[in-house]
Amino acid sequence: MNHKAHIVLLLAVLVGCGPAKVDFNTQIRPILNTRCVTCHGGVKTNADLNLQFRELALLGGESGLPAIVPGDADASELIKKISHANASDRMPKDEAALSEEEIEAFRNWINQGAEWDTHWAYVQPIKSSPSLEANWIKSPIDAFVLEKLNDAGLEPADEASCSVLARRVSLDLTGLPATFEQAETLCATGDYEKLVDELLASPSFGERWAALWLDLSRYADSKGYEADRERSIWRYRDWLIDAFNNDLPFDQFSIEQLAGDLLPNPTTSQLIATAFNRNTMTNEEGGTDDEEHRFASIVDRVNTTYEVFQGTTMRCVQCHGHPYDPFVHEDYFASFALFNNTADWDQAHEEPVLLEFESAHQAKGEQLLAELETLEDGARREYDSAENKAIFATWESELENPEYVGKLLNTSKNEIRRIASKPDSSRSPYERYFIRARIVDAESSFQDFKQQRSELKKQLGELAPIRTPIMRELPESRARETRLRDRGSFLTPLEVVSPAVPKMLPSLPADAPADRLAFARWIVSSENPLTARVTVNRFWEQLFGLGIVESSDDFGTIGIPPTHPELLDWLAVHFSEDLAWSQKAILKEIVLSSTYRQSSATTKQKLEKDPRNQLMSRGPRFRLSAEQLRDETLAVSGLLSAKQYGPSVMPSQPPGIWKNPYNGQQWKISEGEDRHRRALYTYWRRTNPYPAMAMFDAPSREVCISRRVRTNTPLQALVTLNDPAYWEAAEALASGMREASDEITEQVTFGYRKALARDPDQNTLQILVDLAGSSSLPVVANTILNLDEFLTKE
Amino acid sequence: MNVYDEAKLKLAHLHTRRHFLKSFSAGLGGAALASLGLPSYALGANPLGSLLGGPLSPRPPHFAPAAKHVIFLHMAGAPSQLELFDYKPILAKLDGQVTPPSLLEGRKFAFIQGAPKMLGPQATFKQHGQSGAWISDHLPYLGTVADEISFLKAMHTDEFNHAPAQLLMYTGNPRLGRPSLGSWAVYGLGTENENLPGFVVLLSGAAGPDAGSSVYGSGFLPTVFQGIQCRSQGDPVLFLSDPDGVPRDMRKASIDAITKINRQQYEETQDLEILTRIAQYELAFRMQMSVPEAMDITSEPAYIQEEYGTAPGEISFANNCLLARRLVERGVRFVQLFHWGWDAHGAGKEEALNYGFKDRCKETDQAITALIVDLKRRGLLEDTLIVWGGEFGRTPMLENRSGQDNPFVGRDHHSDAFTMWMAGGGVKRGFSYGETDEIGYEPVSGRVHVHDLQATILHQLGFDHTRLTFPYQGRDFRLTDVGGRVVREILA
Amino acid sequence: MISQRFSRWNLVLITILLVGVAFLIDPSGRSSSIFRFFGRLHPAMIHFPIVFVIVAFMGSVVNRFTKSERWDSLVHISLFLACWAGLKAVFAGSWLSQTGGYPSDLITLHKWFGIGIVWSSAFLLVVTTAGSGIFQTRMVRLVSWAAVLGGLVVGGDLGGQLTHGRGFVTQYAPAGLRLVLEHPDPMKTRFDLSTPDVTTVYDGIVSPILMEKCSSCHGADRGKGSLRLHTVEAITTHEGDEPLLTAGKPEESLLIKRIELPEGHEDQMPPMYNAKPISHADVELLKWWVSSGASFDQTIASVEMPTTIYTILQAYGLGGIRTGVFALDVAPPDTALIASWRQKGVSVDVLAEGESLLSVRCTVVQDCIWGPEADGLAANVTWIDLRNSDLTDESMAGLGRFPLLTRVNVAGTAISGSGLAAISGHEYLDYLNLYGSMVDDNALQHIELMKKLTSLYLWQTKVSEEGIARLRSALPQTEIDTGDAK
Repeated sequence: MNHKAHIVLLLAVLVGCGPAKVDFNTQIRPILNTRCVTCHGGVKTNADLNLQFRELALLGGESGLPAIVPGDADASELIKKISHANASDRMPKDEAALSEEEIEAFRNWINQGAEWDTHWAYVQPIKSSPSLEANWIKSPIDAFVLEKLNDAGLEPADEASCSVLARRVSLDLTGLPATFEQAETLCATGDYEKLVDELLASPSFGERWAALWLDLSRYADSKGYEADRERSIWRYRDWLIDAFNNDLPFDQFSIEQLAGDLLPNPTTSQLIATAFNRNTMTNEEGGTDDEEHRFASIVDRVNTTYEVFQGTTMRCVQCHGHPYDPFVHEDYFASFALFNNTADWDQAHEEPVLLEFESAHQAKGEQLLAELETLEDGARREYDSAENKAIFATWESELENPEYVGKLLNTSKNEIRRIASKPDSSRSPYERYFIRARIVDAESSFQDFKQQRSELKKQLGELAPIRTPIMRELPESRARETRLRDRGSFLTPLEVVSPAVPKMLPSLPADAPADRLAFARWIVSSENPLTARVTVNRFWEQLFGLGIVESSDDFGTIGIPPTHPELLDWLAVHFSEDLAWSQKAILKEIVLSSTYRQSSATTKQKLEKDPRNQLMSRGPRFRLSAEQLRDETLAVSGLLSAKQYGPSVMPSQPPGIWKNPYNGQQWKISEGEDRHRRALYTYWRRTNPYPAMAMFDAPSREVCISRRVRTNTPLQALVTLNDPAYWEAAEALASGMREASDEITEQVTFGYRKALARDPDQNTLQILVDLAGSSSLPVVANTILNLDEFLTKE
Repeated sequence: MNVYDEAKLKLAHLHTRRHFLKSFSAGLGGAALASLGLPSYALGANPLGSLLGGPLSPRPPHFAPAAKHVIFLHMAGAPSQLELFDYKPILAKLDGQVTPPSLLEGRKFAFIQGAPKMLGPQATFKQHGQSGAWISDHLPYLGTVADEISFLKAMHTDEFNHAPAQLLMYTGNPRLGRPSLGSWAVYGLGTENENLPGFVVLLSGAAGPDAGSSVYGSGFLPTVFQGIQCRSQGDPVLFLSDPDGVPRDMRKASIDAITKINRQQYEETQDLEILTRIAQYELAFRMQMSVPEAMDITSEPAYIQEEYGTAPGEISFANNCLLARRLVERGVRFVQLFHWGWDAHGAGKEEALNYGFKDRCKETDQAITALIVDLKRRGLLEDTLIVWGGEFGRTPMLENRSGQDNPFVGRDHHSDAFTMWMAGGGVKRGFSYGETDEIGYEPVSGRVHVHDLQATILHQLGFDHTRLTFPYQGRDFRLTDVGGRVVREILA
Repeated sequence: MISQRFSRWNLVLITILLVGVAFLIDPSGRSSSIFRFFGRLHPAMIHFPIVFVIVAFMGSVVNRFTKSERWDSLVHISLFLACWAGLKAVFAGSWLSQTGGYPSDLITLHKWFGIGIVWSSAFLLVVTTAGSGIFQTRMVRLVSWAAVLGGLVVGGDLGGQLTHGRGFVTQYAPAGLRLVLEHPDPMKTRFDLSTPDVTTVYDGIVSPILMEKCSSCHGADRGKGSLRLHTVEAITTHEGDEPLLTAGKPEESLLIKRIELPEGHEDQMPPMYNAKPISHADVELLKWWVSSGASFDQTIASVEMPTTIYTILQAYGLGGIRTGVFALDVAPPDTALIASWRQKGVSVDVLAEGESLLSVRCTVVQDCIWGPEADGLAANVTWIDLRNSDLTDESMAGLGRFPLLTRVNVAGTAISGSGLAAISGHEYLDYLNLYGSMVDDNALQHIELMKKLTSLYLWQTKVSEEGIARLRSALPQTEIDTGDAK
């Protein structure tokens, strides 16, 4: 080899053994997020340097020098600043310097071209096929989990006993405990799949998963804020139960809730689905500005939709660029514009509402509705007709003359005053229509129209229809314009913004109009990288207690990275493509896996290496939700009523809970079987949630709740020990035990079997029998219903 | 402040262990956060997790405290400072005159329209005590303890509707979702008597506070820190007493059985959560004894009942004041009283300045004075900070809802200037800080914002209000949000 | 072999070039990349002149000892090379400094040292080649060698600091040496706030301001306008048509009025043209001193401090004002003892994070006054709450073992008060609660000795009316509450 070759070889060796490829997401971005972006990001951009986006970082800040020069770390201002010798000029400012390794990582990263690969959650999921083979593996899920367990040097636990498994899968799928018979058949036949199919087909499946969506959609039977008066929106709950029971595919399930009213001639059920976003609060307090609170409900709709379907904390972006994730302030109000054209505007009557009549009044109702429709269309047509334009022209000038506007200024309605006080040129089309309508109202020629309309509405009211608030889009002529808001405040509108989805995510299809329907379809389209992942992660969290991404409402860069990324992507693609979004199918796949069937007993080694069971080294074990606790106690004691659907009910509650100064509504305990309905039917008032469930972390649902935190307090013990509803169940169980036999050990065994679908071990039986001796049977029943194993799903 | 703050109610957003360990330094030192009674798996196998320590065990603040307990007397509806403490003789002269437009420009009132008339003080004032504090004849008793009180005459707030103003006063933010002052105090200090709730709420008057239970809620802090409303009728704490047919010995037997079986369950599954549940059941059993005992005011001697003017068996503010003293004596950290009905717009007789408002003064004056004297003679006033006040003030103008004067005498909401007072807990005695202009409309000196009041209360409890934080959604939240200055001028 | 004339011309040429370099540097730092490249060579190039100077020095030393001129030519050549290598290094250095990012004070100092070395090397060349005359004398020879070598050492150190940060050299220097070399943070040393309960406001705060801002004209050496402000006598004995200081009224004190005049006002003090301007914080501090009585002996801790003043002084390093028992430095308590005390059911904790003083509460006196824990932690206990405990007169003697007690609560106990003797001498006791106890008149003899008491509670005790009157006269400072509404 000649001389030159030697040199080339030497260089190759030198370069070859250069530093390993630096991975941006795991090594660089966490440092940027925790040490730099708080001052150089979306919220604060000191020295107008923004390190959130690659282009901006390359651009650099005030000093004009590029913060990052790809390929040349030493020329990058960033490297100079973080490794600067002298504390006062060093970055991060007034804080401890970065460690040597961190600086070294930055240097290598920049020298390797400073690639800025996008955050894992915003990249399309790809379905990889696991290579591992083992007989423990029943589905790819197990393979992914086993891989991680092997890396951690842990063994999966063996399968849970048949009665424990029956109780676990029944609580997970239907929210009710397995009966002793179900456990018996499983133990006898070992046909686990048959039990799973049975549970998936049972009507209580829909009720269990609807309860989850009541939290997500912030469902409540009251309007919130100070008065918190009653609202009838329970038809939406019925829709949820049916959607889950009929296994409505998740994409259709989402589109109908977000934009059912925009579907080509939507069915009644598709209209009711849109009540999802009509769960926002309505403010009826005297002296409040309706437009401000309409704005507030649109803000809530944007935030909730992004949290539920995209696992994104878009709410931060209302006031400023997102502190960590790549969303700019304009993105927020572009999405806001998609929601800003609905007809509802913070009125006590909460129109537009869907009216449903009892069959007897069906015909009369529809006829009245038709009449009302023609009356209003006629008025609108006349209102917009050509010859009236001349009349309006005079009124147009009226808008200018101060005397008339003065009169408008004096009405008690803030809304009118606000718009009337603005110069006409700066009013939006909607506002000019609004003022003109007020002038028209004042004119006598339209009084009879208004009088006829109120007459029709009175007749409709007499038919006592079911009123459900739904979404309806404003016609083009009255479309609202959406403006960017300085620091997100209602009071500081800036330039006009057009409807669009965040720039950083794939954009809306160009061929369709950018409206709520296009947005709903975009959410569930195959290009959207987030929806499937967020949804399967939520299923996983409900079954295992912890999501694969623990922060299930924040898939952004500050959220917690997935413990099993390949598993999450596999589940997402499998769910959205192979199973065509079928929710029952994906749930079945998970519960049939060996991972799910593990026993929850753990070992010292597992407690050390996997304390929070993130690696699924054993079965899940955590306290039941407020709903599961109440339903389980009623079911076990035989009090539970299987009645489904219908308006909310009022089970027993201590007196004096409801003392709202502006709302005389009282808690009237429901009669008959309505007293023992499943927990999701309990009347939910935002300012006074049902105490027994609030004690077990049920939220008051002013805002969307993705995750409830399970706490453990003495007040919870008092509920399950002494709440009249729970004591009534203990007495019912005790009478069941008395009927079963008159020998104490058999009575106790019967009670224990009813509760836990298995026989008590000798020691537990002895303790309970001794207790029966020194107390009463209801006390024994009450004790069984307070055991940790009864309050916990293991 | 953004219009709608979606902070989650009742959700502590537990990020990662890293986040949690970081929070040790940010908010609380030592074992406090670890022993929050949070599900231990959420804390990981955290070496500091002392299960039996419990979340309410006492722990030291940032610096030596001047006060160990707080009794907050909230007059829901906003009492008129012009009829109680802020004596304005010039306003009396202007009574009945139309308000000059210069005072109204750019102002947004809840109900006042057009040009209201000025309304002179509807009470006669006298100076009391060596400090010569001005107090009106609506509060004859309070004058006798004027030398124990520090007045804040130039309070101001940002909200002029009841619910948002109450939320700002107690949670530092006018929108829902933030922890209340009492929850922050118990989160920071724990409580001295673990058999009683650390933060007790007592309601009186026709209704509860306008903003509902959120003004004493735990917000994003764990629910164990929420205010427990003790009712004076039926069970003081919900579901406290055992059902009929379950005497104490039976309940003891059942809890022992539960503990034995659960302990066995723990041996099998090693789930730390079971140990916490065992401790909570035993604590519940002890609370069944200690709460009724503390709440039973009939055990107090007759002369005490007379001093307070109590009405045992009924719901009354006087009863609640006596209860407040008993709870503080037993070590409860924060007692919050709400008395509703001060919203003197003059739209109806039951709230008008010359009728309903006077009744509210009668219902509260004697009991508050007795509370101060009773605490003082027991040597407790030094350690107990008493705070009195509403959520905002009232206008010097007569309210003219939708243009016409109201049927009765009343004033509209006014957020720019009102009076609160504090006593005990290391504040100056017989002192007044801050002044308003001649008609009590604008503060002139010594302005104190609601956040400043909160910072001062936390300071007396031994906290630097900027360092008492909780990590939530990527940010360390605190009660005083981004404001708050300790009002040193009123500290002894 | 280098002639005197040559070295002289060399000196002139070097001087011209050095002057050119000294003034052409454009600190904006945006030079083109070719300059950056040469600039980067500076660290490498400086080593050459150093080597040459050392070689020259060794050569001259050897000459000295061997008393011969054999090495002269080596000395001359190396000095000549040192000059020119040094010049190249200076040029490179000036280009390097243009890339910016260096602290300005250090860089100018380093630059002038660099230039100085090169010039003195050239001068040294002239000296060593000089046959006779002024340059020949030993004195000049020694001085120029010292200049070159000393310059090299200091210039080198400055260069080191430029690249590795200010504390580079002194960072690991032994403490004594570091004190000498490091310059401390100005904010912490301007006022002496370390012992607020001892230092007076005048000594700690006012005098430093006056010395800094006023003494240049109104000090010991120049009494401009017959006003001197550098000592207490000068201030207090000054008479002018207007009072210099009126206690409690800053607006009527000439000193304050003159420093509050707007910018550019001809009477404004300190005057615009020559003295350093006075900051708003200093004006506030002086006004606070005057409005709280303009005293020369009130300590900082004793003067009431509004929030604005407290925040200013905090910035200057004022820690919490620690008075009374907090001012003592108490050894931190033994945590094992605290833990074992808690096992016994005693509620004990430090008063605050980082404090060593303890507060103790218990109902079974046996646990919290006697026993190993009480012995071990005796020096730390300052608050003790024995309300409704089983305390007796005998067991109360144990309280004597806690020297730093400030708050004692023995309300509702069955003591008659004879045990109070144990704590009557306690220097820091300021709160004693005997409400509801069996204390009677013969306890008064002990209570009377507690001069530092601020609050004493005797409601529902057996102390007679006369007893109370006796106490009120014995303890005028103490607030005695007997529970009867005044």
